[in-house]
Formats: sequence, C-alpha cells, structure tokens
Amino acid sequence: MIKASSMKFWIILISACTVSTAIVLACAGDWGPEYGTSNFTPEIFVDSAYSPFFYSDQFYYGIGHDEAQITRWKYDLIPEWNSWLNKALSREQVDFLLNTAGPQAIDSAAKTSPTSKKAADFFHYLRLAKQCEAYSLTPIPAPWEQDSTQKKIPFDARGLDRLLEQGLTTATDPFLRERYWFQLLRSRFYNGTPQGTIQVFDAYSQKFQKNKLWYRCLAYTAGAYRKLHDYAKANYYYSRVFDSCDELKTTAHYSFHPQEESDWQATLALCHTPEEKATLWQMLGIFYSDPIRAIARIYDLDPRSEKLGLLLSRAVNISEQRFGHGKNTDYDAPYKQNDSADRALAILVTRIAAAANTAKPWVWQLAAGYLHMLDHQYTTATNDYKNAESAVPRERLPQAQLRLLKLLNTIAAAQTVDQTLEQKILPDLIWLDSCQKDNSFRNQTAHAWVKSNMAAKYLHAGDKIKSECFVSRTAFYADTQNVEGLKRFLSKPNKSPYEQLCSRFSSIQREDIFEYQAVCQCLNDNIDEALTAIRQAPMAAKTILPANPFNARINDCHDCDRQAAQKIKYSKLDFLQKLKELKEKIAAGADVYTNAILLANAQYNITHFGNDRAFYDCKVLGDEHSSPELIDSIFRDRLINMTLPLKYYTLALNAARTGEQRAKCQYLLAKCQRNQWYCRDLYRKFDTYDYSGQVFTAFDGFKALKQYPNTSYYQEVLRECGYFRTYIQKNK
Amino acid sequence: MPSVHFRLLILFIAAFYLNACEKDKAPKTMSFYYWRTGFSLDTLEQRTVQDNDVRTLYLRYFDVDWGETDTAPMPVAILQFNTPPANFTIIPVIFLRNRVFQKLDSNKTDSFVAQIAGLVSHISTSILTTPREVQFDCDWTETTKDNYFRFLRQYHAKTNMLVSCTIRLHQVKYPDRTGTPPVDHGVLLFYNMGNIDAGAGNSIYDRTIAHRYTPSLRSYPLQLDLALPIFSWGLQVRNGKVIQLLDKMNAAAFEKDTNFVRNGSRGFAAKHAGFRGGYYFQENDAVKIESVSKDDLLEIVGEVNRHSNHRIRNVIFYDLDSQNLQRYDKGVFHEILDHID
Repeated sequence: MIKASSMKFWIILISACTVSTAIVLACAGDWGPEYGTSNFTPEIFVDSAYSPFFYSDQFYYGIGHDEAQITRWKYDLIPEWNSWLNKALSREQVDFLLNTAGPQAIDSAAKTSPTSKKAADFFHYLRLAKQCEAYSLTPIPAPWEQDSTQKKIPFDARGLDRLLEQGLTTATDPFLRERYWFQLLRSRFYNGTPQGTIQVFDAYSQKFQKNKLWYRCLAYTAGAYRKLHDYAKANYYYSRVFDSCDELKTTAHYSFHPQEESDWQATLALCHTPEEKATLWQMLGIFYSDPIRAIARIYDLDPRSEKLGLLLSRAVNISEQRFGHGKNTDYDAPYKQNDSADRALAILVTRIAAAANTAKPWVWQLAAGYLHMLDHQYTTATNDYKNAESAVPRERLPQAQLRLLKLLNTIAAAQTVDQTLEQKILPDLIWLDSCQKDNSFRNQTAHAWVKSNMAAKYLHAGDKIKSECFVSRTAFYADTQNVEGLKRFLSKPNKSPYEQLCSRFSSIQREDIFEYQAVCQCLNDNIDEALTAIRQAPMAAKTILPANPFNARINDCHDCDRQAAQKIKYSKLDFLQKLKELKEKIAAGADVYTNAILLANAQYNITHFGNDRAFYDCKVLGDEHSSPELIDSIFRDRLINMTLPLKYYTLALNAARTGEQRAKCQYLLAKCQRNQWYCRDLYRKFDTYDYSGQVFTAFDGFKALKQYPNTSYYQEVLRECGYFRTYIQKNK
Repeated sequence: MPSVHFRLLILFIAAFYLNACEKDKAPKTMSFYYWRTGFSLDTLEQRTVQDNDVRTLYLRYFDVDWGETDTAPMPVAILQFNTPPANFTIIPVIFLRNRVFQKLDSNKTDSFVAQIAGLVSHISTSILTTPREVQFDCDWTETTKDNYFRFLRQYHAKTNMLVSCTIRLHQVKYPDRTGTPPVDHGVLLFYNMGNIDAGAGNSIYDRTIAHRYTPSLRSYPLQLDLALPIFSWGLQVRNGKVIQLLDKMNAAAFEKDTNFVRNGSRGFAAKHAGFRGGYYFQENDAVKIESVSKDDLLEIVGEVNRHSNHRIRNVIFYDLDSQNLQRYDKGVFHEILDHID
C-alpha cells in the first residue's frame, strides 16, 4: 500500500523529475530528434518510400525541405542511356555528353564518334534536350539575389516544339518516342498553355508504358489542370502520381490542394478502383491531419491496404508526444483522459487490432498495447502484447519493438520497485543499455524514461543509492551519509548482476566521489583529509591546475594568470601538499606573513572567484559556471565562500610589520569583502539586464587602505583599481 | 470714415490670421499598406485608391527571417509584380522578424544593411521608382532593441533615405523599456492587441485593451501616423484551441455553406468534416470570425483623438485588398480620415 503522501515526498519527487528531465534534455542535444518523444519506429513496418511523410517537426522527415528539383532524375539518366545505346558510345562519353557538354562539344563528339543509327538518334535528341534546359533547369538563386521582380522573358519555344513534335511522330523506337513526348509536354507546360499541355498528354498517354517518365508527364498535366483551377482533376492526377512514383511523392504532396468539398467529392468520383480512393484518403489523412477519419475510410475500403501503415504510424507518433509528461510520472493521481483525439484513436486501433484482418495484424496489436499503456491501462496492454507475441515476425527489428514496448509497460505498471521487478527487467535493461548506439530503432526516449522512472520509484521506496545510480541529483550530495553510502555501494566487491548494472549506470563513479570529497575537505581547511581523499582518485590527483594558485592580482584576471609563464605547475595533489606545507610553517611560526598570504591566495583562487576554479571542477560539483547563479544551489555557498581567504589574510595582517604589508593585506581583504557584497546584493538582481545601481561600496578594506597613502602599494592600487580611485576621490 | 489705408490694413491682418489658421492644420492624407505577394490591383482596389485620392502606397517588398537551421538572415516572399504600380509614391516596407535581431552579431549590422539596401534598390529599379523613404516593420523587444536601433541608424546613414518604422501599442506604453527608435517618424499599428484564442474577445481590436495604451500617446516622443485595420479573419478552433488562422475569411465565406451552422454571434461550426476555402475542417470544428466595423474604426479614431494632441497626420489602412474593401461602404475611408483631429 502506498503511504499517504507527505510534503517531503512530493518535493523530492518533483525535484527528482525536474532535475532528471534537465539531464535528459541536455543529452538529447539542442532541439532533440525531429520526431520528438517516441518509442514507436515507423521504419520497422512502413515502406521507406513514405519516409518523408513520417511524423516530424520538420517539413519532410529526414530531408527537411525538398530541394532536389534539379538533381532528382540526374543519376538515372546515365544508366538509362547507356543501356539503350548498348556500347554505341562509351559510358564516359555518355556521362560527359549528358552532364557537362555544351553545343560545341556535342557537335564535335557527333563528328568524331563511330557512326551508328543509335548514336545519330542520340545526338539529335541530345541537341534538343539541351535547349530545353534553358527553361527546365533554372538554378535556385542565392537568397539576396532573388529576382522575382524581373519580368520573365518568355522562351520562344515554337521552333523547338516543332522539332520535338517531329521527333515524336517520326521516331520508331519507343525509348526515344517517349522522351520526345516528355520534352514536348514539358515545353508546353513551361512555355505554352495549360490546354496545350493537356492536349499533348491526352493524345499520347495511352501509347506509352506507365513508367517514371510517364508519371512525370502526369505530374505536369496535373499542374496544367491546377492552372486552370480544375482542382478535381488536378488532385486526382496528383494522387496517381503520389501512389505510383516514389520520387515524385513530395512533389505530389506539395501541389495536392482540394479547395472546396465539391471538388474533393469530384476527385473521389474520378477514381476507378477502391485502391485509388484509398490513396486519396491516405493523402487527406496525412496532409490535413485527420488520420482517424482516413484510417476508418481506408479500412472500410480494404482492411489489407498497405496505405494504412503510414497513417497508423503518424497517429501513434503524434499521440505519444504525451509519453513521460505530467500525469505519467504521478503514481497517485488518477488518470484523466482529456484529449478526445487520443481516445478516438485508441478505440479505432483496438477495434482493428481485434479484427486481426489487416496485412500486418501484429503492428495493430502493438499499437493498441502502446496506446493502452499511454492511457494507464497496463493490464490491457499486457494482454495486447501477449496476443502480438505469436504474430510478431521473428526478425530483429519487430522483436526489438515488441521488447521495448513490453519493458515500458512492465515498469509503468509497477507500483513499487522490489527484487521481483528488478529480476524481471534485468535482462531487458541490459539489452536496452546495449542499444544506445543503435539507430535502427527509436530507443532514446525509452532509455531516458526508464532511468528517470526507476530513479523516482527507488526514491519513493527509500533507496536513495539505487535512485542516484539511475539518475544523479545534486540534492543527493547535500547529505554526507548519502555520499558515503554511494561510495560503499560502488566499492562493493561481489555485486549481484543487478547491482553491477546499477553501478555501471551511475554517472558518478567511485573516483568522482573521492575527488568531490577532497575538494570539500580542502574548502573546509581539512587538508590532511583532502590529501587522503585525492589519493583515491588518481586521475583527478594528476590534473594540472591552469594558473598559479598562489598569486594574487589587484585586478583579478584569470586569462592573464593562465597565460603567464609558470615555473612550477601544480597538480591537484601537488597543490594540496603545498597547502599542508604552508599550514605547517604557519603553525611553526615561520614567516607567518608571507605564508599566510600565500595560503589565503590559494584559498581565494580555488573559489568561484579565483583563477583556479578548475580545482573544484568535478563531476559532482559541475563546471563552466560563468556566474554564481549557474552553480547548483546545493553547492553554491561552498564555492563562493570567502571565509578562509578572509581568515588567512587577517592572519597575515596581524603578522604584518610594515605599512606596505598592512596596505597589501587590507586591499586583499577588500577583494574578499567585495565578492561577499556581490553575492549578497548584486547577484540577487541577476534578472535585471539594465541594472544601474551601485557597483561597489565602501568596503572595510578600502577604508583601512586609506590610512596608508604613503606606501607604494597604495599608489599601485590607486592606479589599477578604479573603484578605489573613486572611493578616494569621494572621501577626501 | 476709415481711410483706405486703414481698410487695407484690416484686410491684411485678417488675411494673415486666416493663413495662420490654415498652416496649423497640416493636410491629412490617406494611404494603404499593400501586403500581398503579387502586386496587381483589381477594379475595386483601383477605384478605391482613385476615389480617395491616394497618392502613396506602402508596399511590402519582402520579409526577413532567420530560420532555426539557417546560418544567416534570408529574404522571404519577395513581392512579385504582375503589373508595376503606376502613379504612386511608393514607400517600401520591409518586415523583419524579431529573431533576426536576436541572432544578428552587432558587427554584422553593416553587411546586413547592405544586403537589404541592395535588394530594396533592385526591386525599386525594376519598377522604375526611386523611393525617398523606407519603412521597417519589426516587433522588437527589450533584448533586441540595441541591435534593431543600430540597424535603423546605419541604414539611414548608408542610404540617406528617410527611415520610418512601425510602432506597436506596448512600445508606446513602455518606451523606457523598449526604447524609442531612432527614426524620422513612426506608424502606430492600432490592431492585433489581443490574444488569438477561442474566447469572446476580438484579437484585432478590443476597446478595453486599447484604453490601457492610448493615454501613453500623449507623451510619446515620436511623430506618429496611424495605421487602422480593415482586415478580417477566421480562427479555426478545435477542442477550445485555435489551430489555424483562416486568412481573409469572414462570415460570408461560411454563411452560404450548408455544412456550417451559426454558432453564437460571430461563429460557425462544421457539421461534418470537409473542405472550405482550401482549409480542411473536422466535424465540430468551430470558426470564430474576427473583424473591425466602421463604428469600431470611428471609435478608435475618437479614442486616439482624445490623447494624440492633434499630432496624427496620416492614416494608413491595412491592407489594400478587395476582400477587405468589399466589406465597407465607399465613403467610409474618407469619413474616418475626416474624423482625425
């Protein structure tokens, strides 16, 4: 029985979810995949020819925009002509003539090539085809040189058309004839009238095979009808193109545009077969976002239609965007179906799955199971998957899809986590982890969700360690008991297979903990403990600090310090050892002033404000904090704390003998006081870009430094520190 | 009896005062924005500009956007000319999306200005016009203010053209936040002030919302023209959310279609799924029509008069399109212009 929720539980749960979400999104990259949240891979059961129409936040899935207008057919040409020419010309010659040669090169090639009827016919056709490029191969201009304002000088195609028509009527070889037909029709489209285009199509369409060239002609003819505003006919032809010519699916989509219900009905009426109607419904379902209506219509026409697959994949991909959001992460909150589209889809898919009369019943069963899971109907989903089990093909990807969905359902259905659940899902977790680099099916979403869901379950069950292994939270590190607990767990010698998995999942490993502890101890002035810890983290111990941590400047300049020549470079281990030395010397009373300043400088430089912030950069604490606000709130106070620098600068001050020495200590103290003031007062106003309040105040150090106007250090500060200069001017 | 000299003096003084009064009343002009992508005026549009003595047209030459996957700003939807505009003073208008200035590097402003100026010049040359003024339309924000204002300044410096820009109501009310653009004058776009949602309000013009902004006109430092809306549109609503803007569609588009039934005073609902005007409607989709009536326009002018302190000189109607014009009576534009104080 789940305990009544306490405030603490909710805070932990919410913070777990938000932090873990942040980690998930960071891993997904800038904008994440174009299909958003997904556990359902269309590539597994839908023909790849449809892939531009898979659900995506881009215009076309996988390709963004279709910019292949000029290159779409380019690579088919050489093999086609080569095969027809049958060695009358070499392949290299054909390539050159088609893609590179201008009129002169063609002429000279014609003269020098071995004579044959085919070659002669080819050259004759080629000359005309090259002329057609003037209007058919307009390159896409550079954006700022677009010239849509210029009047298009119409291409005078009369002579060319006559020759093309002549070729069409006199050629006997069907290969050549259909090409003359295509060029003539296209010329009519670009240079003539829509009626002229249609006339050429109607006169010859029955005489040629329905190959790709034929569908290119059909597409231009559809365009002609569209120019005439005969949307019924145009859309019918576009649907034929969409159905039969893969290369032109995007073109057909782009131009398919019913205007009024009457022309849509007229388009349907032009269909000769149920399959043609099914194509139209498929297009409506995709392009006008009504998959439910389209699926229902096509299913009625033909339950085995392959056109259903794409619609189902789109509908599921859209519906699953809610996966892992909001209510799915709340165990106690009752599920409220508030989107009627999701409900209608689930009902339809369940009905079709139950009938088991589609071409791929297993797809519908998987989809039904998944939709039921999204609706929190876990038992129903389990049954769906059981039914699907025998039908899913024994191939890698369909089995992977089934396995993935089943795992998600098992975890989602589990109210708590216990040994039974762990043992049940262990093989699947290992499998899922091994698929991380596998891009052949979608598993990123599942991977992230499993991690965050299991982490939340463990937290709820009170197992902070395992939770941390699945998803790391900074709040975990606020409690040293947690840290020690994780360290013990990771160090455990005879881990069970499940424990090994947890350990592998953990983004914080043993050494990372020791490194973190070394930093914390150092920041607490416990140098011996810090040394013990850092020795357990050899990689960290070896890390070289980028700047000399024992120097201080009047104006902090981290870049300057990094670029300055360093006689001695300190590793983290060397650094801690040096700190220990300095402390021992101070304890022994040896040159307290100098050693205290060096120690203070070091403690200053390893805080956020110092030149060796890199000392604290580690997996647990994070890095690249360009401002205190970017340091996680759990750690922030520790990393901006000025207590130790203040302590040691004060120690130095008390040991100072001369005015120069005192002046220096006071200024260095002022720097610490300034940082404290920033953190207390300025960074609170982080949101205000237009902050125009005061940028410094009369720090105690300034007031004290004012007492030493005759020291050369005072003069240096006056030269280099504008704030101090201003302070002095205002307080003469 | 007064001498001739005395009478002449009186006459002279009277004439002087009459002239002075006329000088105070700068002539008010009316023009239109043209915002479609193909320029050509049909009969109604031509008649409207003739009847109202419209001399100037504000022509949208192109938009500029910086897409998410692009590495530079690009011109979009460049105006095409089926018949070039004759007998007008053309003021090119360029619409710039705010995100262009979010992404523009400050040291790239120069080259950006050059690109825009080049394309503007190219388009102007091809329609045989030499505009003296150019207008920029950008809904800039606090964070893009610096970049945008730098752009305006440099554009003026480079081309020596008069530069004006559009101002929206929130920019009039909060000039301390969004700044005052460095331009010769602005055009106050008195529309699109509400949220586009399925609620009862009108996103184009809402009196209560307008009230919150108009008092700020009094102290706004720039000279302002006034842009008024004469457009209408439909909002396609499904499950309480707006899913599509039905551009230029109004009640007339749905009244005669038996598939649509009246739904409230400004709405329709689709009985069955189907197509209308190139859009697809699912069963029960609702359509909310938003438009601006003549009374609304007069109300706007009255409100502006109350706070403008007689500074509004010119009115520009958005936008010139017979789909909009046919919803108004012939004399309405002149009536509105006359109403300006």
